[in-house]
Amino acid sequence: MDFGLIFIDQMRNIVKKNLLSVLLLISLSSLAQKKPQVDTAVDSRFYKFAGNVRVDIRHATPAQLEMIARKERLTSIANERFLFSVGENLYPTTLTLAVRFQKNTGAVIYEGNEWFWGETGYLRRYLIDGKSDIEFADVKITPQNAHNYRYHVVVNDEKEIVGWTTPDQFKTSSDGKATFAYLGNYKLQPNGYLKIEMYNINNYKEKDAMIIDWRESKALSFQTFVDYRTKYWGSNIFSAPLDKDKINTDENFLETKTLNDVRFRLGDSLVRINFFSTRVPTPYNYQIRLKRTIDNKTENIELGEYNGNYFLYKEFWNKAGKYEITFTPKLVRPGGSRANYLTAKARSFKFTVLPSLTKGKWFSNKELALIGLILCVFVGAVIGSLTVWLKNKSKKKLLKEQQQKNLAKIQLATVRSQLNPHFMFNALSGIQSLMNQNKSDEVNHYLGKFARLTRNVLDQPDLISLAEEKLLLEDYLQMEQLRFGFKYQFHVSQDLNMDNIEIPSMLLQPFVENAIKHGDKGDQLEIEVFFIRTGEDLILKITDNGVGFDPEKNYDGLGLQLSRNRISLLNTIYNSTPLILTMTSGSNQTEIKITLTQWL
Amino acid sequence: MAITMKAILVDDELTNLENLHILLEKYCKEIKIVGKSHNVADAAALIDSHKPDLVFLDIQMGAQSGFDLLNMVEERTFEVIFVTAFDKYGIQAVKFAALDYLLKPVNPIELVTAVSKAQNKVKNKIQTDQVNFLLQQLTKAEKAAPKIALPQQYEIRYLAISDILRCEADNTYTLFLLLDGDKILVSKPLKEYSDLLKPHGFLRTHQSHLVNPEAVKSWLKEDGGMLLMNNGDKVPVSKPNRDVVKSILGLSIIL
Repeated sequence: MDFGLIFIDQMRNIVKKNLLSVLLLISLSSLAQKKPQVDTAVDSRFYKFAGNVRVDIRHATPAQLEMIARKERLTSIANERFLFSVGENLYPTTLTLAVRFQKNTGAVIYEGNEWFWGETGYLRRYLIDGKSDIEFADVKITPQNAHNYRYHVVVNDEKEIVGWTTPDQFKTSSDGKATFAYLGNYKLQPNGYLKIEMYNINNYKEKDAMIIDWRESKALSFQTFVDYRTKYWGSNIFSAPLDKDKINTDENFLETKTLNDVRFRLGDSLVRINFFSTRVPTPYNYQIRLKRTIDNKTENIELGEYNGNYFLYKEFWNKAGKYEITFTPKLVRPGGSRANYLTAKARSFKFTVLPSLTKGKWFSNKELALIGLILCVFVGAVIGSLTVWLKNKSKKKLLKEQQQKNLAKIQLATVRSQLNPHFMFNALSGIQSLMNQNKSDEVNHYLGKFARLTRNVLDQPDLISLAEEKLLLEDYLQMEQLRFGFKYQFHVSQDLNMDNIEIPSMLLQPFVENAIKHGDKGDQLEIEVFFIRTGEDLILKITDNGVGFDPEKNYDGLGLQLSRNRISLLNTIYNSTPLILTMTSGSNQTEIKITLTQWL
Repeated sequence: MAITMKAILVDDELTNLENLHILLEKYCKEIKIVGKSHNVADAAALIDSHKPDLVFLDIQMGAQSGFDLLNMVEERTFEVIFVTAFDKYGIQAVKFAALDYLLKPVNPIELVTAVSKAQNKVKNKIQTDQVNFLLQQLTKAEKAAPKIALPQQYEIRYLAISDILRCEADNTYTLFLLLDGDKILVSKPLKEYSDLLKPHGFLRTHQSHLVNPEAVKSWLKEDGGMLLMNNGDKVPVSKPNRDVVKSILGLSIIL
């Protein structure tokens, strides 16, 4: 079988659109190289982008022409400062409602979470921090098709301030190229929200809606429960509320009576702490962190981002110590620029875990004597049925645990596959440039490295040896050196058995990628990678002398987010030997450290 | 002193044949290419008429495979280097037989290494029946007990996987301890065999240990977790592996 074909097949699965468009571009440009046409071929007036593909409008298909026209229309309207979500590639009749905010009010606009609305629509949400009036428009509606549409506007889901209306006002963009429906100016609703809905009356599936929300961003409001099993009810899970001051104290794992001082006594019955959001889905995501202090050692664990209920499984707090979980609202500005973490609106829950008692957890002495008596009477029958029951139960329990771990593995695979395109295409272009310089030895050399990296990505091994990880990182670094001048160095503890110690694969690659991308020091950039043994811990560390970042704020690169998610998923699998990620950054030194606790 | 080796290249894609030809001419001057074929039938005829020393063989060739070709040839007196793009099943079988393989795109350094290994065998007239072993394993599929080939300096040892008690890492070497008390040292890291044997249920309990779960007697609580083997050996279980080992052993005991 041919390498190229398989490669394309697999890559297509991984990076569907991107790859296709890149390949199309490559083939287009190579065609252009092979068959140079005379004069008009270079006239840029004839070349336009239909989606990601550059086409000659003299030979474009009707669909491409329509796409180009739509893009030009949307560009013209966007110049009028209207915000909308439809793009020229998207289904052209949804996400077309647009909103414009008042100028120079100092108000900050955030994008809330977008949710499915029925089966065919989306409900978008913008959050306004400040005093700005707004205007609505709809970019798909023109004077010609307006008679098909009806919209209304409702305040706080209570009062209709514009009844069902056919759009009858239109605006033309300042460049005169696009005319679109203008749906009016609306005063700000102090501490309230506006909802606009638009329907096509000939096809109610074609609909769109948007909420503009002036309410203050709130801390996550949740009720807290502890979930547990009892000896008598098998796998059923029960919940005991922790929020009220009178906590149900029937269960012997709770050693506390007030919310201010929740103490758990470790035992088999505890399953998880359940943070039950009073509003699901939450209007924006929350970032969750767990701080734990065990034996005077404090560590922070990233648990990822959520938008609803959250379960903190016991695996994260199965050792005696002090714990604090913090939910921080994360607000995203339109256009995908840097996120704001509202630390002032963060909400925390503190609890203490006490060591388990070794004796008499379930039965008092009297009960034991009684049970002993009963056992004596029914000894044969009971033992028989008990054995069967126990077998089934532990089998079920093990299977369930196995299923949970399998689920985590599947999720891990998805997170991992998202890491790929980043370096794949960079690497390909590096090789391309060598090819164009006719350096065939070097092409062979780097192609071998690229193949090894690709194979690792496609194979997705759970674990690889430190030696392989180092080799892959070197492959990666050398490929990047094709494009950027920087120096790198590896430091390996003498007593580390590189061939036999296994770790989750490609843990460090995203951080190396970041160091190169954000180092911003040209030839002066130096990256150092450490594999260190400290007692039973394995420490993987990357330092660079680049310009650095603020670890409290600038956490939003895609690579970093994926890495954090991956680490929190890995922690559900390796719950007794968690991976801990720490980042420190100064003006001259950035350090990323992953500690694999008790790994060795 | 390098001796000239007659080689035949087999791959269903002409560009791949051409590419390998160029690489061999450039990096392996001791190879004389006596024939190239892009299908199994022609390749069998070429082998019969030229009696090559070495065959570069693609595993997946449309409907047929390189293994089919090996089955068709009666006198297998040549060395084989498999060449493949992305074929887990095929590579797995080749690895179990401890035969050489190259991955496409062919890395010149790996090509030179594989050729010099073949050269060594041809020059010293070392004949092994690894190819027979491979073909047997492939036809037997999952019915009979699977076997593995362990390369030694002058011979190849073939073992039923079920005869392995456990494996232990010794730096880049792996020590095989067998049920009958025999020991075999192989010059490949434990990781290689861990990858091969894990699909057969073997457990990596520790960075230096791989065990056959069938030969585990019990779980000892000492030192945070040890496995007691049927022969009395104690094997440590490291912390990250503890849950996995417990659940697999637990499952197999209960079921």
